[in-house]
Amino acid sequence: MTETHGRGATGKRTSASRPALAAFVIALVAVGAPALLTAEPAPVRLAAVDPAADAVLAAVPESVALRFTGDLAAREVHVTVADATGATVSAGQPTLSGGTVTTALGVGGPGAYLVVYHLLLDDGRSISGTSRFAVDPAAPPAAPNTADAAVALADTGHAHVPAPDPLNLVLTAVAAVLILALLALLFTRPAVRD
Amino acid sequence: MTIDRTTSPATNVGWLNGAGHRTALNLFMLVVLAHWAEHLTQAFQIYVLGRPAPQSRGVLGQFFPWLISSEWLHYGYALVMVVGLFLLRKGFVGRARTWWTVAFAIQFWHHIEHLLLFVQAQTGTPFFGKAVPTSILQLFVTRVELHLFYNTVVFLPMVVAVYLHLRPNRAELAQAVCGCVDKAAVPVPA
Repeated sequence: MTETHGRGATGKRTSASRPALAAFVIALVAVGAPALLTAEPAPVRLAAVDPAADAVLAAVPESVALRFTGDLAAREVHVTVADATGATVSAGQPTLSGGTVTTALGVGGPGAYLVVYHLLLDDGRSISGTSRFAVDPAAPPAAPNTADAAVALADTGHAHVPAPDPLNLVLTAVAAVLILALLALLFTRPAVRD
Repeated sequence: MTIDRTTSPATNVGWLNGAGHRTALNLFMLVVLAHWAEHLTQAFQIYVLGRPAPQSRGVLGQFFPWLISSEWLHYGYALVMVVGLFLLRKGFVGRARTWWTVAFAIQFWHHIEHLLLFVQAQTGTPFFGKAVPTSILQLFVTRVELHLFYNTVVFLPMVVAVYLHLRPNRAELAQAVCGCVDKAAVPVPA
């Protein structure tokens, strides 16, 4: 920001800082408006798991699939499936197709299994969680994950809009007043107070 | 902290606190205002637009989401603030110097808090037995409120200092070492 001070032909003090400040405020609004007005992409949430959470299967499935809702654009996808001893059963890299992440499973025996997933999204956020299933050869063949199960999972997610906290609101209001006062100070000509 | 309205103006304050004080102060205030614009945008997104907090990332965070969780950004701003308050201090005189020094003292502590967070984040070692990087006062107050509180209590004396600096009494104007107020335009008593 350049600034010049001087006295014009009228004897009034001139300053280039005020136009510069005005330009800054206009630029700030121009840059900030899209942040306020742009629609936020739908949040990514786990909608369904196959095998379903806590399902008991007759045998280890060929793969585990995680279906997500929202605008899923991930730069990193990690899925690990382990048996009760902690041995990794998942094999190879998980694949992402549409909103579904699939990871192949190797051979496994009866017992409990833990699915752990972590996705790093393109916008910097991450989503992670766990699911469990079990294998019992005596169990009847399991049906694929149903729509009901998917709805039940989706309903577990909810938006965390913080309640308007009085302290936050007071501090924000104080700051807003101070900002206006500072802008007024910077835009008006300095003076001497007798 | 002393208020000296009787001594003659210091002469060896350098360009930053002399001829360049107004330019430097304006630039510093623009940085401060931009930072506040981020906070107010975030508050607007949460309380007016009703967005979930993770999706309310202000202006820069809208385009660069990783910035919001970056300790570099938070520590960097705290550092810029404490350095700016320190470097521009000599250009203030009288009551304005007192208020500016108050802002500097509070920001110095705020900076220490951010330094603690920064070290924990960079080393991956949270202190105080916590699971995430935690500052000292954060042990008592949640971080968003604490950060907002710090920024406000630093900003308040800054604005008062700038007001008194740009609206000095005649004794303070006589001591002034910068060109923020045009002495030539105002007759100063000997």
